[in-house]
Amino acid sequence: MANKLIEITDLRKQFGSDEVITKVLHGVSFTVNEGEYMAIMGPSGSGKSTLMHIIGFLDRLTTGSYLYNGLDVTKFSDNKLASIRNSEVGFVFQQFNLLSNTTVFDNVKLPLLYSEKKNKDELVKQAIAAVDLEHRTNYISNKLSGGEKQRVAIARAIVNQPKIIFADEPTGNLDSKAGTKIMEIFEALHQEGKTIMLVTHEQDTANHAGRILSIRDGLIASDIMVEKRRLASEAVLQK
Amino acid sequence: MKLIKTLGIAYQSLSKHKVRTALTVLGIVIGVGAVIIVMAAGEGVKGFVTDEIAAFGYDIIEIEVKTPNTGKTSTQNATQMAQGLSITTLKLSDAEAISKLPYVKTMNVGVIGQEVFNYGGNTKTSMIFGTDENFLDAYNISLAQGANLTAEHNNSLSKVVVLGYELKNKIFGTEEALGKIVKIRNKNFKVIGVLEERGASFMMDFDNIALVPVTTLQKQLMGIDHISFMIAKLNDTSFVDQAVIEISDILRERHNILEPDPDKYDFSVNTMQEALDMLTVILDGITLLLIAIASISLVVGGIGIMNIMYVSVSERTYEIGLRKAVGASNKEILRQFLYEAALVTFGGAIAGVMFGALISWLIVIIAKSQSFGWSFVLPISSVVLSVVVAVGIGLLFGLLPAKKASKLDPIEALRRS
Repeated sequence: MANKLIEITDLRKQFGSDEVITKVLHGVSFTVNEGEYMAIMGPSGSGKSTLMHIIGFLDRLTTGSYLYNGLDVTKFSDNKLASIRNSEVGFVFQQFNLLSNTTVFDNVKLPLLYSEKKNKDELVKQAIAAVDLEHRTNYISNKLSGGEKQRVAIARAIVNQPKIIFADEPTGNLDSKAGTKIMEIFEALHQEGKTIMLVTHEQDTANHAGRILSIRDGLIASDIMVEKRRLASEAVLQK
Repeated sequence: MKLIKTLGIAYQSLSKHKVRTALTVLGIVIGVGAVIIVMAAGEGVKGFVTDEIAAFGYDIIEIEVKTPNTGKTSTQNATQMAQGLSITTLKLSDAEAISKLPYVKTMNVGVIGQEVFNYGGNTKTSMIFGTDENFLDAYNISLAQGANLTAEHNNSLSKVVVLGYELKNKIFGTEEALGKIVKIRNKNFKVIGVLEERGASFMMDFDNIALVPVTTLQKQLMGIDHISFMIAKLNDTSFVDQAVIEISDILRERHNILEPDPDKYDFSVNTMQEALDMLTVILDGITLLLIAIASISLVVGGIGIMNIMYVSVSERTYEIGLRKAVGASNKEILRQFLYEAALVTFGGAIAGVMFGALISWLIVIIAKSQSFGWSFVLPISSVVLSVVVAVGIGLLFGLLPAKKASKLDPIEALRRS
């Protein structure tokens, strides 16, 4: 039986002060097993990014519970959250978020600056090789194409050998060819055993995942294993 | 290890904004440079003054007239003497009495005035000292030519004169002066000697004075019977304290002053050590004041750092968000920005020390060319102090922007990108 990595129960999140309160998530519950490839789908403003920030240790929930590897995340200090972000997770953003005027090597190395890991340069080289960018190692990040920038961002996300990779609209700013390449990399990482959580509003992108969690108006609208959905679709077609 | 790591991150960030970093550093360079210049100049002048006093020797005691009922260093005394208040109680007989003390090696007396000198139609005004054969010894001056004044000259009210080096040139030019007659207040004086070139020394230009027998100046030129000062040269510096007491007692008795209160006296007895101490206090005060003024530029440099750091935090909001997203803690971000400020100020301080040292050295070169025996002194304490204060200012003024950076919400920061 797969190990439960994330257990979310009745998660609620609201922003603002007493006068202006914006409720974003209204009670979300789900679990994520280690090694799972999951897509969180939903239209703009549905709360999918907020959910990813909370489960990615970048933000805190308002009420509810969040267990990571059985540990209560709500009790973690800011320093502990920073440490987990460094050692357990990797982020890939739609805007790439690379440091400008900085080489590919140094961009990828960034998380290791806050890590106690040894052989840092070797880890950076391995991460760059994993996204097929060895020939761009000493390039300044500004000079890369969008697809290459996102591959650098993925290398940065995996350099610390995290358990989970969070990707927020990773193909949103890319053409279809570059987008396909990115999704192939995610697939390869998944095959290696990484847990991948993909936030997207594109059905095609979400289809690469084994499971799609749909969020609408701060609530889970559906939680479907892709294989079951494919079988259901085929059954409909056969009828 | 963490320190080196964070310093490395801070250095990387700074090196990406070379022009901005250089301009920020400039403020600190000027501030530290100004402090170094002032401190080096202060030490240089102090050394210069000490050397000047040492040239006179610490074994001499100076006795001069003073306004009664005032402190000898009081403004009141200085003002009244400057206004021309004439105290006529100090006499040649006082000097004779003091010279009988066993540890007094020589006694020099003097009256100071200003007279017009005339030779062949060439007229010059100069300071004139009525003095005796011990003047040269008291002030450590030698003769370039001719002979010194003698006791006989004083006994016989001889009309002879010894000219300062520059004064001789002004009156006679390149012409030989020895044996020539120069008119002082229309009286003929024979030039018997010329002093060696000495330059300005301790607020007196020995090159532009004339020495005549004190009795001659008193009787023939000024019509007085008092003197202005006496200088007692002792056998040894160990007698200085004893001499001050005993000389005071002799003069108090001779001047019929009953109360043994130095403020009541019509004379003051001064040692060279006193003069040095007083000048040191004054110079230290001036140096401190100048350091305080120079420090303002250091504080302005610090404010410049704060300004740039705030701009930097705003500009790098997204970078801060990213660093936090990949695992940097609040403390690590705080440290990074603080170290950036410290690195900027440290670099600026080192450059400032070099800049200050260079300017101080140039000042010494110029001072020396103007005959001031001023040497280049760069006290290690001033270097350490200015570097430590500069880095402290960097940390202090970098703290608020660094705190702001550390408290940024990573999601908000990334969203602003």
